[in-house]
Amino acid sequence: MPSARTYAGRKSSWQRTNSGAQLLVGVILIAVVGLFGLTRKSMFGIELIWPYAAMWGAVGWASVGLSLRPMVILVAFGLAQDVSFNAPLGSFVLVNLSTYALSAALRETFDVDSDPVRALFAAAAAMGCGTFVLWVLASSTADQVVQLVPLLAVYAVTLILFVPVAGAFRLGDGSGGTL
Amino acid sequence: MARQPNIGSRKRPMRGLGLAVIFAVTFGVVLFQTAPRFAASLNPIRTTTSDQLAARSGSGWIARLSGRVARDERVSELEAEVRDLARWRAAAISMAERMETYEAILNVQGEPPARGVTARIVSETGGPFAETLLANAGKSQGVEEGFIAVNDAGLVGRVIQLGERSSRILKVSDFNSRVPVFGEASGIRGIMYGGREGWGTITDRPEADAFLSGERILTSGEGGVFPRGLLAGLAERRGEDWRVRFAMREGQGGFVRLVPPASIPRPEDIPIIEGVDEEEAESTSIAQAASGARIAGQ
Repeated sequence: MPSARTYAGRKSSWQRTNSGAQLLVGVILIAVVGLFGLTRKSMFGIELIWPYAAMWGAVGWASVGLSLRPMVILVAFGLAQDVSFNAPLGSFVLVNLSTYALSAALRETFDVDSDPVRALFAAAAAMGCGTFVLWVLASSTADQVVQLVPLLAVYAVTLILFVPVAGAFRLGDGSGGTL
Repeated sequence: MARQPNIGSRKRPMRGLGLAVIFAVTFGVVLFQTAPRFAASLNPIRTTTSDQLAARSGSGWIARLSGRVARDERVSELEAEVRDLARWRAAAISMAERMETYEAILNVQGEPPARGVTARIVSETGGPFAETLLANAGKSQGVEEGFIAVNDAGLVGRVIQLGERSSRILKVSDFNSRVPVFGEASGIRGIMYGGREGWGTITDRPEADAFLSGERILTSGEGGVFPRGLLAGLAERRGEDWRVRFAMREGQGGFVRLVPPASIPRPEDIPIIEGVDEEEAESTSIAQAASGARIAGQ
Protein backbone atom coordinates (compact mmCIF):
# COMPACT_ATOMS: atom_id res chain seq x y z
CA MET A 1 0.00 0.00 0.00
CA PRO A 2 1.45 3.39 -0.84
CA SER A 3 2.10 5.80 1.99
CA ALA A 4 -0.01 8.93 2.13
CA ARG A 5 2.89 11.34 1.73
CA THR A 6 6.33 11.22 0.28
CA TYR A 7 9.26 10.83 2.71
CA ALA A 8 10.22 14.46 2.30
CA GLY A 9 6.79 15.60 3.45
CA ARG A 10 5.98 17.02 0.05
CA LYS A 11 2.79 16.02 -1.70
CA SER A 12 3.10 13.74 -4.71
CA SER A 13 1.50 14.61 -8.03
CA TRP A 14 -1.30 12.14 -7.29
CA GLN A 15 -2.04 13.88 -3.98
CA ARG A 16 -2.17 17.23 -5.71
CA THR A 17 -4.64 15.90 -8.27
CA ASN A 18 -8.28 16.93 -8.02
CA SER A 19 -10.33 14.32 -6.13
CA GLY A 20 -12.83 14.12 -9.00
CA ALA A 21 -10.01 13.15 -11.36
CA GLN A 22 -8.75 10.61 -8.84
CA LEU A 23 -12.21 9.13 -8.67
CA LEU A 24 -12.40 9.03 -12.46
CA VAL A 25 -9.12 7.08 -12.69
CA GLY A 26 -10.51 4.47 -10.31
CA VAL A 27 -13.78 4.27 -12.25
CA ILE A 28 -11.93 3.75 -15.54
CA LEU A 29 -9.73 1.07 -13.98
CA ILE A 30 -12.74 -0.82 -12.63
CA ALA A 31 -14.63 -0.47 -15.91
CA VAL A 32 -11.71 -1.72 -18.00
CA VAL A 33 -11.03 -4.71 -15.74
CA GLY A 34 -14.74 -5.47 -15.58
CA LEU A 35 -15.24 -5.28 -19.35
CA PHE A 36 -12.27 -7.54 -20.04
CA GLY A 37 -13.68 -9.98 -17.52
CA LEU A 38 -17.01 -10.30 -19.32
CA THR A 39 -15.78 -13.29 -21.28
CA ARG A 40 -13.83 -16.21 -19.89
CA LYS A 41 -10.07 -16.00 -20.20
CA SER A 42 -7.67 -18.89 -20.14
CA MET A 43 -3.91 -19.19 -20.28
CA PHE A 44 -2.13 -22.44 -21.19
CA GLY A 45 -5.48 -24.21 -20.89
CA ILE A 46 -6.09 -22.95 -17.35
CA GLU A 47 -9.10 -20.72 -16.84
CA LEU A 48 -8.16 -17.42 -15.23
CA ILE A 49 -9.95 -16.24 -12.12
CA TRP A 50 -11.17 -12.70 -12.66
CA PRO A 51 -11.41 -10.25 -9.72
CA TYR A 52 -14.49 -8.30 -8.61
CA ALA A 53 -12.86 -4.97 -9.46
CA ALA A 54 -15.66 -2.90 -7.91
CA MET A 55 -14.48 -4.15 -4.50
CA TRP A 56 -11.19 -2.30 -5.04
CA GLY A 57 -13.17 0.93 -5.29
CA ALA A 58 -15.30 0.03 -2.29
CA VAL A 59 -12.21 -0.49 -0.11
CA GLY A 60 -10.01 2.24 -1.57
CA TRP A 61 -12.59 5.02 -1.68
CA ALA A 62 -13.64 4.34 1.92
CA SER A 63 -10.31 5.78 3.14
CA VAL A 64 -11.91 9.24 3.32
CA GLY A 65 -15.03 8.03 5.09
CA LEU A 66 -18.53 7.82 3.72
CA SER A 67 -19.09 9.99 0.69
CA LEU A 68 -21.92 10.39 -1.77
CA ARG A 69 -20.11 10.14 -5.12
CA PRO A 70 -18.35 6.82 -4.43
CA MET A 71 -21.64 5.42 -3.14
CA VAL A 72 -23.46 6.37 -6.34
CA ILE A 73 -20.64 4.89 -8.45
CA LEU A 74 -20.67 1.66 -6.45
CA VAL A 75 -24.45 1.41 -6.90
CA ALA A 76 -24.01 1.86 -10.67
CA PHE A 77 -21.25 -0.76 -10.84
CA GLY A 78 -23.35 -3.10 -8.71
CA LEU A 79 -26.28 -2.85 -11.12
CA ALA A 80 -23.97 -3.50 -14.08
CA GLN A 81 -22.61 -6.58 -12.30
CA ASP A 82 -26.16 -7.77 -11.57
CA VAL A 83 -26.97 -7.65 -15.27
CA SER A 84 -23.78 -9.34 -16.42
CA PHE A 85 -23.98 -12.09 -13.76
CA ASN A 86 -27.74 -12.49 -14.19
CA ALA A 87 -28.14 -11.92 -10.47
CA PRO A 88 -31.29 -10.46 -8.87
CA LEU A 89 -31.04 -6.69 -9.29
CA GLY A 90 -29.52 -5.14 -6.19
CA SER A 91 -27.44 -8.14 -5.12
CA PHE A 92 -24.06 -6.74 -6.14
CA VAL A 93 -25.14 -3.28 -4.96
CA LEU A 94 -25.50 -4.76 -1.48
CA VAL A 95 -22.15 -6.51 -1.84
CA ASN A 96 -20.34 -3.32 -2.89
CA LEU A 97 -22.01 -1.12 -0.29
CA SER A 98 -21.43 -3.55 2.57
CA THR A 99 -17.74 -3.73 1.61
CA TYR A 100 -17.63 0.06 1.44
CA ALA A 101 -19.44 0.55 4.75
CA LEU A 102 -17.28 -1.94 6.66
CA SER A 103 -14.09 -0.52 5.18
CA ALA A 104 -15.11 3.01 6.20
CA ALA A 105 -16.07 1.82 9.67
CA LEU A 106 -12.74 0.04 10.16
CA ARG A 107 -10.81 3.12 9.09
CA GLU A 108 -12.76 5.34 11.46
CA THR A 109 -12.36 2.96 14.38
CA PHE A 110 -8.75 1.90 13.97
CA ASP A 111 -5.61 3.66 12.83
CA VAL A 112 -5.37 1.67 9.63
CA ASP A 113 -3.51 3.94 7.22
CA SER A 114 -0.29 4.28 9.23
CA ASP A 115 0.60 0.59 8.94
CA PRO A 116 0.51 -1.26 5.57
CA VAL A 117 -0.05 -4.63 7.25
CA ARG A 118 -3.01 -3.28 9.18
CA ALA A 119 -4.35 -1.70 5.98
CA LEU A 120 -4.09 -5.06 4.24
CA PHE A 121 -5.94 -6.80 7.06
CA ALA A 122 -8.66 -4.13 6.97
CA ALA A 123 -9.03 -4.58 3.20
CA ALA A 124 -9.15 -8.37 3.65
CA ALA A 125 -11.85 -8.05 6.29
CA ALA A 126 -13.98 -5.66 4.21
CA MET A 127 -13.68 -7.77 1.05
CA GLY A 128 -14.37 -10.90 3.11
CA CYS A 129 -17.56 -9.30 4.34
CA GLY A 130 -18.59 -8.49 0.75
CA THR A 131 -17.83 -12.04 -0.38
CA PHE A 132 -19.85 -13.46 2.50
CA VAL A 133 -22.83 -11.24 1.62
CA LEU A 134 -22.50 -12.42 -1.99
CA TRP A 135 -22.45 -16.07 -0.92
CA VAL A 136 -25.52 -15.61 1.30
CA LEU A 137 -27.45 -13.81 -1.44
CA ALA A 138 -26.48 -16.35 -4.11
CA SER A 139 -27.34 -19.31 -1.90
CA SER A 140 -30.69 -17.85 -0.93
CA THR A 141 -31.74 -16.97 -4.47
CA ALA A 142 -30.42 -20.15 -6.13
CA ASP A 143 -31.89 -23.57 -5.34
CA GLN A 144 -28.65 -24.82 -3.84
CA VAL A 145 -25.95 -23.87 -1.38
CA VAL A 146 -23.43 -22.17 -3.64
CA GLN A 147 -19.95 -23.69 -3.68
CA LEU A 148 -17.65 -21.55 -1.54
CA VAL A 149 -14.27 -22.48 -3.03
CA PRO A 150 -14.65 -20.59 -6.37
CA LEU A 151 -15.86 -17.53 -4.45
CA LEU A 152 -12.87 -17.72 -2.13
CA ALA A 153 -10.58 -17.98 -5.16
CA VAL A 154 -12.09 -14.80 -6.62
CA TYR A 155 -11.81 -13.14 -3.19
CA ALA A 156 -8.12 -14.05 -2.94
CA VAL A 157 -7.38 -12.77 -6.46
CA THR A 158 -9.27 -9.53 -5.78
CA LEU A 159 -7.33 -8.99 -2.57
CA ILE A 160 -3.91 -9.84 -4.05
CA LEU A 161 -4.44 -7.57 -7.05
CA PHE A 162 -5.66 -4.78 -4.79
CA VAL A 163 -2.15 -4.39 -3.34
CA PRO A 164 -0.56 -3.01 -6.55
CA VAL A 165 -3.61 -0.96 -7.63
CA ALA A 166 -4.58 0.45 -4.22
CA GLY A 167 -2.87 3.76 -4.97
CA ALA A 168 -5.28 4.43 -7.82
CA PHE A 169 -8.19 4.35 -5.36
CA ARG A 170 -6.79 6.75 -2.79
CA LEU A 171 -8.82 9.96 -2.71
CA GLY A 172 -7.93 13.46 -1.56
CA ASP A 173 -4.44 14.26 -0.34
CA GLY A 174 -4.15 11.08 1.68
CA SER A 175 -4.70 12.78 5.02
CA GLY A 176 -8.22 11.49 5.47
CA GLY A 177 -9.92 14.56 4.00
CA THR A 178 -13.34 14.27 2.52
CA LEU A 179 -14.37 14.40 -1.06
CA MET B 1 -4.44 0.57 17.91
CA ALA B 2 -7.74 2.21 18.79
CA ARG B 3 -7.94 5.89 18.18
CA GLN B 4 -10.34 8.75 18.80
CA PRO B 5 -13.40 8.66 16.55
CA ASN B 6 -13.14 10.96 13.60
CA ILE B 7 -14.78 14.26 14.55
CA GLY B 8 -15.53 14.94 10.90
CA SER B 9 -17.74 11.88 10.75
CA ARG B 10 -20.08 13.34 13.38
CA LYS B 11 -20.70 16.26 11.09
CA ARG B 12 -21.89 13.97 8.35
CA PRO B 13 -24.75 11.96 9.84
CA MET B 14 -26.66 12.42 6.59
CA ARG B 15 -24.16 10.29 4.66
CA GLY B 16 -24.54 7.41 7.07
CA LEU B 17 -28.29 7.82 6.88
CA GLY B 18 -28.05 7.93 3.06
CA LEU B 19 -26.08 4.67 3.06
CA ALA B 20 -28.65 3.09 5.36
CA VAL B 21 -31.48 4.23 3.10
CA ILE B 22 -29.73 2.85 -0.02
CA PHE B 23 -29.16 -0.42 1.86
CA ALA B 24 -32.81 -0.65 2.84
CA VAL B 25 -34.09 0.20 -0.64
CA THR B 26 -31.69 -2.25 -2.33
CA PHE B 27 -32.57 -5.00 0.12
CA GLY B 28 -36.23 -4.31 -0.60
CA VAL B 29 -35.55 -4.59 -4.35
CA VAL B 30 -33.81 -7.96 -3.83
CA LEU B 31 -36.67 -9.23 -1.65
CA PHE B 32 -39.16 -7.93 -4.24
CA GLN B 33 -37.56 -10.24 -6.80
CA THR B 34 -38.07 -13.38 -4.75
CA ALA B 35 -41.59 -13.46 -6.20
CA PRO B 36 -41.21 -14.75 -9.80
CA ARG B 37 -44.02 -12.51 -11.07
CA PHE B 38 -42.32 -9.36 -9.77
CA ALA B 39 -38.91 -10.59 -10.93
CA ALA B 40 -40.34 -10.95 -14.44
CA SER B 41 -41.48 -7.32 -14.34
CA LEU B 42 -37.81 -6.28 -14.10
CA ASN B 43 -36.86 -8.25 -17.19
CA PRO B 44 -37.26 -5.24 -19.54
CA ILE B 45 -34.56 -3.39 -17.54
CA ARG B 46 -32.25 -6.36 -17.88
CA THR B 47 -32.87 -6.90 -21.56
CA THR B 48 -32.45 -3.21 -22.40
CA THR B 49 -29.10 -3.16 -20.59
CA SER B 50 -28.08 -6.40 -22.28
CA ASP B 51 -28.96 -4.86 -25.64
CA GLN B 52 -26.72 -1.90 -24.90
CA LEU B 53 -23.93 -4.21 -23.79
CA ALA B 54 -24.26 -6.29 -26.92
CA ALA B 55 -24.31 -3.20 -29.15
CA ARG B 56 -21.33 -1.49 -27.53
CA SER B 57 -19.05 -4.45 -27.01
CA GLY B 58 -15.75 -4.17 -28.79
CA SER B 59 -16.09 -0.51 -29.77
CA GLY B 60 -13.55 2.31 -29.47
CA TRP B 61 -9.80 1.86 -29.39
CA ILE B 62 -10.10 -1.87 -28.82
CA ALA B 63 -12.04 -2.06 -32.08
CA ARG B 64 -9.33 -0.08 -33.91
CA LEU B 65 -6.56 -2.23 -32.56
CA SER B 66 -8.37 -5.43 -33.42
CA GLY B 67 -9.15 -4.21 -36.94
CA ARG B 68 -12.85 -4.00 -36.27
CA VAL B 69 -13.09 -0.49 -37.74
CA ALA B 70 -11.69 -1.74 -41.05
CA ARG B 71 -14.15 -4.59 -40.97
CA ASP B 72 -17.00 -2.16 -40.29
CA GLU B 73 -16.02 -0.14 -43.37
CA ARG B 74 -16.00 -3.31 -45.38
CA VAL B 75 -19.44 -4.09 -43.98
CA SER B 76 -20.69 -0.71 -45.25
CA GLU B 77 -19.43 -1.52 -48.76
CA LEU B 78 -21.09 -4.88 -48.60
CA GLU B 79 -24.33 -3.31 -47.43
CA ALA B 80 -24.36 -1.20 -50.58
CA GLU B 81 -23.87 -4.35 -52.57
CA VAL B 82 -26.68 -5.99 -50.65
CA ARG B 83 -29.03 -3.18 -51.64
CA ASP B 84 -28.11 -3.86 -55.24
CA LEU B 85 -28.77 -7.53 -54.80
CA ALA B 86 -32.11 -6.87 -53.14
CA ARG B 87 -33.65 -6.37 -56.57
CA TRP B 88 -32.45 -9.81 -57.57
CA ARG B 89 -33.77 -11.23 -54.34
CA ALA B 90 -37.24 -9.92 -55.12
CA ALA B 91 -37.10 -11.73 -58.43
CA ALA B 92 -35.81 -14.88 -56.75
CA ILE B 93 -38.59 -14.80 -54.15
CA SER B 94 -41.14 -14.54 -56.90
CA MET B 95 -39.60 -17.53 -58.65
CA ALA B 96 -39.35 -19.48 -55.40
CA GLU B 97 -43.04 -18.92 -54.73
CA ARG B 98 -43.81 -20.20 -58.18
CA MET B 99 -41.56 -23.20 -57.52
CA GLU B 100 -43.32 -23.91 -54.21
CA THR B 101 -46.66 -23.89 -56.00
CA TYR B 102 -45.36 -26.38 -58.57
CA GLU B 103 -43.88 -28.57 -55.83
CA ALA B 104 -47.16 -28.54 -53.94
CA ILE B 105 -48.99 -29.60 -57.09
CA LEU B 106 -46.49 -32.43 -57.63
CA ASN B 107 -46.32 -33.26 -53.86
CA VAL B 108 -42.50 -33.00 -53.87
CA GLN B 109 -40.82 -33.72 -50.50
CA GLY B 110 -37.76 -31.45 -50.66
CA GLU B 111 -35.07 -30.64 -48.10
CA PRO B 112 -36.31 -28.46 -45.22
CA PRO B 113 -34.84 -24.94 -45.11
CA ALA B 114 -32.00 -24.39 -42.66
CA ARG B 115 -33.04 -22.24 -39.71
CA GLY B 116 -31.09 -20.60 -36.96
CA VAL B 117 -28.79 -17.69 -36.19
CA THR B 118 -25.09 -17.61 -35.38
CA ALA B 119 -24.29 -15.15 -32.61
CA ARG B 120 -21.15 -13.91 -30.91
CA ILE B 121 -20.80 -14.48 -27.17
CA VAL B 122 -20.66 -11.02 -25.61
CA SER B 123 -20.50 -12.01 -21.98
CA GLU B 124 -19.81 -15.32 -20.28
CA THR B 125 -19.76 -15.08 -16.55
CA GLY B 126 -19.92 -18.03 -14.20
CA GLY B 127 -20.12 -16.58 -10.73
CA PRO B 128 -22.26 -17.73 -7.85
CA PHE B 129 -25.53 -16.99 -9.59
CA ALA B 130 -26.95 -18.64 -12.73
CA GLU B 131 -24.43 -19.93 -15.29
CA THR B 132 -25.46 -17.97 -18.33
CA LEU B 133 -23.96 -16.30 -21.34
CA LEU B 134 -25.08 -13.37 -23.39
CA ALA B 135 -25.18 -13.57 -27.20
CA ASN B 136 -25.58 -10.62 -29.57
CA ALA B 137 -28.66 -11.84 -31.41
CA GLY B 138 -32.22 -11.28 -30.26
CA LYS B 139 -35.76 -10.74 -31.47
CA SER B 140 -34.55 -8.62 -34.40
CA GLN B 141 -32.57 -11.57 -35.72
CA GLY B 142 -35.49 -13.96 -35.37
CA VAL B 143 -34.41 -15.60 -32.11
CA GLU B 144 -37.20 -16.73 -29.81
CA GLU B 145 -37.31 -17.84 -26.21
CA GLY B 146 -36.54 -21.54 -25.98
CA PHE B 147 -34.13 -21.62 -28.92
CA ILE B 148 -31.31 -24.14 -28.48
CA ALA B 149 -27.70 -22.92 -28.34
CA VAL B 150 -24.94 -25.13 -29.73
CA ASN B 151 -21.30 -24.49 -30.48
CA ASP B 152 -18.87 -26.41 -32.68
CA ALA B 153 -18.37 -29.03 -29.96
CA GLY B 154 -21.91 -29.66 -28.78
CA LEU B 155 -24.89 -28.48 -26.77
CA VAL B 156 -24.45 -25.21 -24.87
CA GLY B 157 -27.92 -24.42 -23.48
CA ARG B 158 -31.17 -22.70 -24.33
CA VAL B 159 -32.42 -19.14 -24.56
CA ILE B 160 -34.22 -18.05 -21.38
CA GLN B 161 -34.35 -14.28 -21.82
CA LEU B 162 -34.67 -12.19 -24.92
CA GLY B 163 -33.91 -8.59 -25.88
CA GLU B 164 -34.14 -6.88 -29.24
CA ARG B 165 -30.47 -7.57 -30.06
CA SER B 166 -29.39 -9.91 -27.29
CA SER B 167 -30.35 -13.21 -25.77
CA ARG B 168 -29.47 -14.75 -22.41
CA ILE B 169 -28.63 -18.45 -22.62
CA LEU B 170 -28.90 -20.76 -19.61
CA LYS B 171 -25.98 -23.15 -19.95
CA VAL B 172 -26.45 -26.88 -19.48
CA SER B 173 -23.80 -26.63 -16.77
CA ASP B 174 -26.18 -24.61 -14.55
CA PHE B 175 -27.70 -26.36 -11.56
CA ASN B 176 -31.22 -25.49 -12.68
CA SER B 177 -30.74 -26.89 -16.19
CA ARG B 178 -32.40 -30.25 -16.91
CA VAL B 179 -31.70 -32.10 -20.16
CA PRO B 180 -33.14 -35.51 -21.10
CA VAL B 181 -30.22 -37.57 -22.43
CA PHE B 182 -29.25 -41.10 -23.42
CA GLY B 183 -26.02 -43.01 -23.90
CA GLU B 184 -25.14 -43.39 -27.57
CA ALA B 185 -23.85 -46.97 -27.20
CA SER B 186 -25.75 -48.24 -24.16
CA GLY B 187 -29.07 -46.54 -24.93
CA ILE B 188 -29.59 -45.87 -21.22
CA ARG B 189 -31.70 -42.79 -20.61
CA GLY B 190 -31.59 -40.21 -17.85
CA ILE B 191 -31.86 -36.54 -16.91
CA MET B 192 -28.68 -34.50 -16.91
CA TYR B 193 -28.23 -31.44 -14.71
CA GLY B 194 -25.26 -29.16 -14.17
CA GLY B 195 -23.67 -28.20 -10.93
CA ARG B 196 -20.53 -28.25 -8.93
CA GLU B 197 -17.05 -28.68 -10.35
CA GLY B 198 -18.27 -27.95 -13.87
CA TRP B 199 -19.49 -31.51 -14.46
CA GLY B 200 -22.96 -32.69 -15.29
CA THR B 201 -24.72 -35.38 -13.28
CA ILE B 202 -27.15 -37.93 -14.66
CA THR B 203 -30.13 -38.79 -12.51
CA ASP B 204 -33.63 -40.30 -12.84
CA ARG B 205 -32.50 -43.31 -14.86
CA PRO B 206 -35.51 -45.51 -15.66
CA GLU B 207 -33.25 -48.44 -16.58
CA ALA B 208 -31.18 -50.26 -13.98
CA ASP B 209 -28.21 -50.79 -16.32
CA ALA B 210 -25.14 -48.56 -16.28
CA PHE B 211 -23.68 -46.33 -18.97
CA LEU B 212 -20.43 -47.26 -20.66
CA SER B 213 -17.54 -45.21 -19.40
CA GLY B 214 -16.39 -42.76 -22.10
CA GLU B 215 -19.47 -43.15 -24.28
CA ARG B 216 -21.07 -40.10 -25.83
CA ILE B 217 -24.11 -38.67 -24.07
CA LEU B 218 -26.69 -37.29 -26.49
CA THR B 219 -29.96 -35.45 -26.02
CA SER B 220 -32.89 -37.86 -26.22
CA GLY B 221 -35.45 -35.32 -27.40
CA GLU B 222 -37.92 -36.38 -24.70
CA GLY B 223 -40.09 -33.52 -23.50
CA GLY B 224 -39.72 -31.73 -26.82
CA VAL B 225 -37.39 -28.99 -25.54
CA PHE B 226 -34.13 -30.24 -27.02
CA PRO B 227 -33.93 -32.01 -30.40
CA ARG B 228 -32.71 -35.60 -30.34
CA GLY B 229 -29.06 -36.39 -31.03
CA LEU B 230 -27.17 -33.27 -29.87
CA LEU B 231 -23.86 -34.09 -28.20
CA ALA B 232 -23.95 -33.12 -24.51
CA GLY B 233 -20.68 -34.73 -23.40
CA LEU B 234 -18.89 -37.91 -22.39
CA ALA B 235 -19.98 -40.25 -19.59
CA GLU B 236 -17.65 -40.90 -16.70
CA ARG B 237 -18.22 -42.82 -13.49
CA ARG B 238 -17.38 -41.05 -10.25
CA GLY B 239 -18.18 -43.14 -7.22
CA GLU B 240 -21.81 -44.15 -7.42
CA ASP B 241 -22.74 -41.32 -9.77
CA TRP B 242 -22.54 -41.05 -13.53
CA ARG B 243 -21.08 -37.69 -14.47
CA VAL B 244 -20.84 -35.93 -17.84
CA ARG B 245 -17.80 -34.04 -19.11
CA PHE B 246 -19.46 -31.24 -21.08
CA ALA B 247 -18.60 -31.24 -24.77
CA MET B 248 -19.22 -27.49 -25.08
CA ARG B 249 -16.04 -26.78 -23.13
CA GLU B 250 -14.03 -28.01 -26.12
CA GLY B 251 -15.70 -25.38 -28.34
CA GLN B 252 -13.55 -22.66 -29.90
CA GLY B 253 -14.26 -19.25 -31.35
CA GLY B 254 -16.71 -17.60 -28.98
CA PHE B 255 -19.75 -18.13 -31.18
CA VAL B 256 -22.97 -20.06 -30.66
CA ARG B 257 -25.63 -21.14 -33.11
CA LEU B 258 -29.19 -20.54 -31.95
CA VAL B 259 -31.63 -22.97 -33.51
CA PRO B 260 -35.36 -23.54 -32.97
CA PRO B 261 -36.30 -26.24 -30.48
CA ALA B 262 -37.69 -29.59 -31.53
CA SER B 263 -41.35 -29.33 -32.52
CA ILE B 264 -42.93 -32.68 -33.16
CA PRO B 265 -46.36 -32.08 -34.70
CA ARG B 266 -49.39 -33.26 -32.75
CA PRO B 267 -51.97 -35.39 -34.60
CA GLU B 268 -54.51 -32.55 -34.44
CA ASP B 269 -52.01 -30.20 -36.15
CA ILE B 270 -51.78 -32.40 -39.24
CA PRO B 271 -54.34 -31.22 -41.82
CA ILE B 272 -57.00 -33.66 -42.93
CA ILE B 273 -56.84 -34.22 -46.65
CA GLU B 274 -60.26 -34.86 -48.11
CA GLY B 275 -60.93 -36.64 -51.35
CA VAL B 276 -58.09 -39.16 -51.06
CA ASP B 277 -58.27 -42.77 -50.06
CA GLU B 278 -57.22 -43.90 -46.56
CA GLU B 279 -53.85 -45.38 -47.59
CA GLU B 280 -52.76 -42.21 -49.41
CA ALA B 281 -53.82 -39.99 -46.48
CA GLU B 282 -51.77 -42.11 -44.08
CA SER B 283 -48.64 -41.91 -46.22
CA THR B 284 -49.04 -38.10 -46.52
CA SER B 285 -49.35 -37.73 -42.73
CA ILE B 286 -46.20 -39.80 -42.15
CA ALA B 287 -44.29 -37.73 -44.71
CA GLN B 288 -45.41 -34.48 -43.03
CA ALA B 289 -44.46 -35.74 -39.58
CA ALA B 290 -41.04 -36.76 -40.88
CA SER B 291 -40.66 -33.32 -42.49
CA GLY B 292 -41.54 -31.64 -39.17
CA ALA B 293 -38.96 -33.72 -37.32
CA ARG B 294 -36.31 -32.86 -39.94
CA ILE B 295 -37.04 -29.13 -39.54
CA ALA B 296 -36.73 -29.47 -35.75
CA GLY B 297 -33.43 -31.22 -36.18
CA GLN B 298 -31.92 -28.33 -38.14
